[in-house]
Amino acid sequence: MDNTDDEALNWAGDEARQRGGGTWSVPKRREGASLSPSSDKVAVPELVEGVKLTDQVVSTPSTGSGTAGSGAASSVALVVTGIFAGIYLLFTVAWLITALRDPIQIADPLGNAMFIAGLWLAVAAGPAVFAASLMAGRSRLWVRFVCLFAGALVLIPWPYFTWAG
Amino acid sequence: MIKSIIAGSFGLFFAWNVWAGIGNFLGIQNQRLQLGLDLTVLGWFVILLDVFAPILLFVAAILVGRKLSRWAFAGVLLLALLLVAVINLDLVLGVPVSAMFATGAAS
Repeated sequence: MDNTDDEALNWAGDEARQRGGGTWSVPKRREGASLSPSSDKVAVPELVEGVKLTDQVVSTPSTGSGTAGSGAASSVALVVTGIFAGIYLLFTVAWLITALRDPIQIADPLGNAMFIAGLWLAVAAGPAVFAASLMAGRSRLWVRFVCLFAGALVLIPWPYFTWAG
Repeated sequence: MIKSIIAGSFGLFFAWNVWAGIGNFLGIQNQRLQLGLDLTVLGWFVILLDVFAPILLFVAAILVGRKLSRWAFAGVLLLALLLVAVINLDLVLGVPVSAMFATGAAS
């Protein structure tokens, strides 16, 4: 970093990615693909797709290899995804608080254990839905946001609002 | 074959939720009759959804995951199970009892 002001505008690891040290760096994949000519044909479309995906998910103005329009769109996508991530984090914390207060003691030990398991499954649901939405929307961005929105509606922590809050 | 084992293993947990939902349904009916009260529309919706949500989500997960790989199939079923847990807790803990019984004046 020559200029500390620029430091605030960069994501950690940007430089490594620009230098090609990142996990999805182009030269790395080419090396792997050139080991055998037969796999080269298979690897090239993956490579192109991978680069596009990278631009959508992690957009950095300096590294954006696409057009300016797609760069702006991916920035918006990144911000919206970040907002959803915050919502999911809050919901997960609310479910965690609900789970930690362990509201009901059921006499039947198996029933009690299953109920407690359910509480913790609900805590895990937030991160799981978020990850699954990103996976489901890998190729189409709108699918990701539809999934995130629908998941957020389902994950609203009603017990936290009505009882544990 | 392996996928049916996966489906069966997850199915046990879904079945437990259905069973617990039936228990809640009967418990609420018992309370309702002892109190001499009817349930609100929300109350009926809650105790019926508590029984049928696991069934619907299990079927949906099977349909979605049917053509996927084993791991993805298991992942979809796991996701559905997590959602069942969320919905079940929403219904069991998130709905005030006073909103389920049509208590009339004595709310």
